[in-house]
Amino acid sequence: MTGISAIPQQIQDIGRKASGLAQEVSGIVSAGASYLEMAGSGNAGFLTTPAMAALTVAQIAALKNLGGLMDEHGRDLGGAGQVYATTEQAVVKSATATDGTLTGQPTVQPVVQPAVQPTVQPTVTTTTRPV
Amino acid sequence: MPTFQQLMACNPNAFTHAGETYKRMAQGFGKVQQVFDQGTKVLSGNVWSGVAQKVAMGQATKLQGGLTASGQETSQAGTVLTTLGHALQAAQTQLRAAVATAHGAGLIVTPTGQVINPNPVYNQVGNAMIGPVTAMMTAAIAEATAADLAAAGKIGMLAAGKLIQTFGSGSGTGSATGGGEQMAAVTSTAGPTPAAIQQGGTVDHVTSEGMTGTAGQNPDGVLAVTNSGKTADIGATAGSGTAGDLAQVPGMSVGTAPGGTSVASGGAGAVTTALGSAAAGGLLGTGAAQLGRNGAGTTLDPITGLPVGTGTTIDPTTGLPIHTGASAGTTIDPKTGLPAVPGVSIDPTTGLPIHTATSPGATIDPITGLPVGTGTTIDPNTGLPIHTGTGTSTSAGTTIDPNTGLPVASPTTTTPGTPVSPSTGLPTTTPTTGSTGSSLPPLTSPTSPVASGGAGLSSLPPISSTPISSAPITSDPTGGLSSLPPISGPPITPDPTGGLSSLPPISSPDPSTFTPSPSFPDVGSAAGSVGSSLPDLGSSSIPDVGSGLTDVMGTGGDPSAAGGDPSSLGADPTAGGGALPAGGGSLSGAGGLGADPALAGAGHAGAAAPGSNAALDGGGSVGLGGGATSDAAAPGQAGHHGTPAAAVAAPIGVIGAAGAAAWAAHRRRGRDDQPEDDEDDE
Repeated sequence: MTGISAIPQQIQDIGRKASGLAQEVSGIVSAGASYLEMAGSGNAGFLTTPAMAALTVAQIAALKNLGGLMDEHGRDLGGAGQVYATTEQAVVKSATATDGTLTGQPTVQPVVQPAVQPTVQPTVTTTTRPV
Repeated sequence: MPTFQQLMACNPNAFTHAGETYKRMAQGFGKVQQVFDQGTKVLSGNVWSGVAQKVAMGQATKLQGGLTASGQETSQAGTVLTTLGHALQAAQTQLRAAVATAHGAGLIVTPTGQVINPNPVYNQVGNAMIGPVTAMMTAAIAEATAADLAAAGKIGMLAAGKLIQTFGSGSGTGSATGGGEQMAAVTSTAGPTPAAIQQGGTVDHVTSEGMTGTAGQNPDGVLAVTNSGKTADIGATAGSGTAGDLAQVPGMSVGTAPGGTSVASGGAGAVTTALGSAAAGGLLGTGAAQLGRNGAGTTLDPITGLPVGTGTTIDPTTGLPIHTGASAGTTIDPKTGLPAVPGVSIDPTTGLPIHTATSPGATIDPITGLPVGTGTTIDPNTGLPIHTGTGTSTSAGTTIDPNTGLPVASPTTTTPGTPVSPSTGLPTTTPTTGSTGSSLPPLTSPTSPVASGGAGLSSLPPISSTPISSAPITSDPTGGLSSLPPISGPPITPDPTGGLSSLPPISSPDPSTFTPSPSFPDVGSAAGSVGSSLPDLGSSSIPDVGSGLTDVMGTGGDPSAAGGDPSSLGADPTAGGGALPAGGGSLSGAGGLGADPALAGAGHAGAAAPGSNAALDGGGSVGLGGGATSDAAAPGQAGHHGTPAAAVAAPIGVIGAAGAAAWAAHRRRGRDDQPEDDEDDE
């Protein structure tokens, strides 16, 4: 079992970016679909016309699925970062309650500086399942 | 395979724009991938570690692959469609150029692409252009077909690409709507290799994830054969909207082909799309509906990778599909590599199409729909062919009675006032041209060949048993034949001993006292009208027939030059009142004024041709045996019309130009000297 290190804020940022990219994919697909559907107009009798129509339908569906997976991935990352942060806060709160010296003094900074503090505080247990 | 009309009306820019759209999409996916890669790289660094990080990185890697495939495959699709659009644009331009060329040559291009010359007799340029134009059109369609096949094949490959296999809605819930209206004949054969469908999920998987569809008409018979030999009724599956049948087939690999590519439907890749999507969960119904719309029966040839339609096989020689189905009437000519036009085969020597649907060289008259032979035109009034060439099926200058379908003996009108024989339908008398008021004697010998073919001609005199005088035929000093000397002397008596009898002494009359016989015109006209009798007149008269007749046709419309004036007749064509300016029709027609009915027919064509010089000259048609009439339709178009040609043609046809001149002079002299004799002759 290796140690766990996480910078929740960055994980959440990456998750938000992934969700944004998923929306971009959806936008690309939606914009292109209207043009692609018009490609078959006036071109009856060609084998390419139905083949392209089928390909377009399949690809758009696949791309939408890809965008959905990407959005889900971003949400997972965001959730993971949130869980990391919440867990740490919970642990800090619990420790403060048992040790009066730490009351009101959280040991985990809300914003983790990865360059200075590459690992999360050891108060985060290994049983945490972010996903 | 696009048809002529489809290629003419197609919109290549639609393919081009679709290709450009695909390329723009690919560029967008490329940018998305770059940003996503940066985030993934951060996650793989010091920001995060642990089992969860490994799981998240696995997801990110899959998405990276999807984005990469999206960019690559959409870019490829864009290239394919752009190439197809450009190829179709070129083919369409070539086809339209061919059509424009055909129109420029006076040809008609039917909606089916058949090139027709509506005026094959007069539009010789059009006749010559039919072959090249057809070849251009065929080549354009072949180019479009080749580009279409290639594009469809590549699209079929893309349909089995990584993007669709991996992300083809496999993990989602089913959302397909079943079609299946026209799926009765689709049969897919599974290949021995693992199917592409299996890479993105199995049919069982689809079923377990709730693949549903909207039921439609559900024709059976759409089968997919698996490796194990089992079949699944795709039609029932798609129609019912469930994948149960497919799921029940172990190792189901619908429409697989070597290499994991899939069998296509009416457009390559349609089945792949459908079943691949179905395996991934969701698009079976949609794909199946597409399959139905695209028409059943097209599969990907495992050798060529090209779609093969129903009844279509790939010619191993040419690599092009050969349509063998009933609906396909077009095959690829193995020699030329071009699609053979129905009814037209390509001449391997010339590379030009040969009309085989009808008689070689025959063209279809757009008005009658009947093949029109060379040199044959359709009478707009009767709708029946008129022989204008050298045909011998009917008499030259003879038209077809639309009621009876039989040739009419007197195609042209008779001179007003000319009595027509009720039995023959021919004029009984024909006024002469040279001598006003005089006419040739009526037919007197019903058995004469002249009587059956000619009108207004003199008859042959009855053959008498009078012994022929040995006296030489005297020639007229003016150059023409004059007359036969009267025969005198006792009849020849046979020698009872069997030897030659001795002839009585011959007494020739003094030429200076010779008086023309009133019956001479009969002899002359009869001899000239009947070809068989020409040799009897001596060789000197025969060559004159043609040359003299050449002038006759021209002078047929000019009373001042024909017949009556010997100086106008003869070898000088200009004196003939425009025989040469009358054009080919007139000249050829003039040549036919002799005993040759075929040539006389040519003369009729020249005279009857609208707008031709012959018509302007009023050249009449000449029937058999020298029977001639004037062209009554010609008056009004030019100045020389309506003169009965028979009056001129008959004597000239008999004894030639020189003889005609002499005859005219003789007639004039005889009329002046003995007017009563002429009247008696008539």
